[in-house]
Amino acid sequence: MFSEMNKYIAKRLVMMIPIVLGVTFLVFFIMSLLPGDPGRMILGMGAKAEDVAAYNHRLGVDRPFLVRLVSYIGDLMHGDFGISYRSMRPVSEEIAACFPYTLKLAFAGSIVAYLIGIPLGLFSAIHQNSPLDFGGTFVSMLLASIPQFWLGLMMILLFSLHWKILPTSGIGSFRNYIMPVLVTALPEAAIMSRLTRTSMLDCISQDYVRTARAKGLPRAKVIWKHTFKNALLPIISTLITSFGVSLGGTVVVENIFSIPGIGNLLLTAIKAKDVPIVMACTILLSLIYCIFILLADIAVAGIDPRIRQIYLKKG
Amino acid sequence: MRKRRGEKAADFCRKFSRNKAAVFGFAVAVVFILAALFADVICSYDKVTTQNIVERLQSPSAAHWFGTDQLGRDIFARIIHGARVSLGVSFLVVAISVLVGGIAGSLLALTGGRIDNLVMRLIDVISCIPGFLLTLALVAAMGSGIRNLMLAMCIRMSVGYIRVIRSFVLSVVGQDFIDAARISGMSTRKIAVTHVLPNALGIIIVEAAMSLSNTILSIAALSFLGLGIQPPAPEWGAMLNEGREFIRTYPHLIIIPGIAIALSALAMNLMGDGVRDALDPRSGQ
Repeated sequence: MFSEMNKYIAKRLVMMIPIVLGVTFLVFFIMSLLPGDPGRMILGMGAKAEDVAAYNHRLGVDRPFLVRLVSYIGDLMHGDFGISYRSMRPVSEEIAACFPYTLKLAFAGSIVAYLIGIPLGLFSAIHQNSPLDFGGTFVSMLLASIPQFWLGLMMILLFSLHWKILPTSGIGSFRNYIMPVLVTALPEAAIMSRLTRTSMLDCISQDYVRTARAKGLPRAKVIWKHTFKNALLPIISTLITSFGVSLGGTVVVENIFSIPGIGNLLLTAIKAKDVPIVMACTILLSLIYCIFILLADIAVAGIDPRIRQIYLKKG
Repeated sequence: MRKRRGEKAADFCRKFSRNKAAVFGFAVAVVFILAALFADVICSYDKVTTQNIVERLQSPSAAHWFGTDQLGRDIFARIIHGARVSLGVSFLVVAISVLVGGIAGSLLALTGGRIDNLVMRLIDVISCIPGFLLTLALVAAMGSGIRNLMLAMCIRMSVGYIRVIRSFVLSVVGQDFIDAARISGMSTRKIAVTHVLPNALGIIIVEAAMSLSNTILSIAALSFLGLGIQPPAPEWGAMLNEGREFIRTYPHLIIIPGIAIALSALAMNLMGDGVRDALDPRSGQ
């Protein structure tokens, strides 16, 4: 079984290489559409044309597209993301300074989302078609419909300005993170609860659950051992992937609560046309997303031997 | 054939109307759509743009139902005309993406071979960039504004539709009744129109309905971040962004546009669920 699993993981890892190269190429291509003149941007409107040209030459932006692409990928291999046009510091340093905040936010947000979403979905499924189920479904539907930025602003309005119990922004203490984490978590919790509910209901209608009930097993055992265990598969897969998604989705939350994370770095860079930062953030976040998709697939294959078989036979 | 299609539609209406939440969503959506269609009748566009410093930052009153903003513009008028912008752009994006995704997806499935393989690998790569991030990167490269925002959203959404519709068409093509049609001498085009399209229609409608609320939220979020639709256009997300600095003093500036976004997204979500349940052959009788 172990060798089979290793074979599966090895295959998936090898497939990551073209994907990563492809993402890098795509992001590089998209950003090269930007009609930019970094030399002019850095030196200002008053600078002489020769100086600007010399500066652009030093940055290497006057070279042809393919040459730039190859040298960019070469630099990436050494962990070199280039130099920010705005601050003139290495991009990797800027990202390293911002990343911990985003990581903390996404991690705490995801955990809270699972803790709210999965029990809510389970509860709804067990009490299917009762008023409680309708209530739970409606709440998760509402949370999925409220724009994240508005939820954040309303929480500031209520908890910071009206009741004055939580700080509006900043990163000083634990209390600063309560609202950002909740705003990150709630929409995700809505998705998790809906998924858990559907997944549970799918399993409840299976024959083996009916058999378990018919042979007189206690209700709790049927729910936990026969239904939940089988319903867990799509839940685990979404759970892992959604962490990758929330890493990229903190842009809005960081903006509202002024958290100096990757999202805010990316947003400032987009407005300032700071291409190296935009590229690095996009590639990095996509890479992390891909890794989490891979982890989710490996986890699912590890749990469910059927998926492993299908994959190994096909490839 | 025609009678069967009529029966299907009647069946759909019966199932949909029994779902109370979906009917509620439908009713709210109709109100918003009517507001968007008849915005000019409800209040003139002048009120949306005319600045009136004397009447700035008023709370809701009889003269200004939702109050006025920092430039003295009537917020009710801006919300009504904003429905046209926010919902109009969202509907258009979904419609274009579904069309592109539907055509490209079925063509890829029906032709197969090298082109199909190449396009699918490209789509694999695009799908590795989280959706919101892809839109951000595209808008960053092309610049903000309504046209670029729509283009960026269409690219992001079409990719998903191509995938779904391609795999659906592939699953239909593999079935016996397609082989039977082919053996009986039907041309590929006729097969596509009479057999594949009617079968794919359900999944296309469901996909479109389910993605409307997400599109509304994404467009509002991008405009809120200052990267989408730009002021002075009365887009709900942009209005929220403009009202942000008045959160301490005049919270109605951000409460009202937010309710409009949330309510329309909720309506689309409820409706989407209703459509899915009504079209799903597995759902109860």
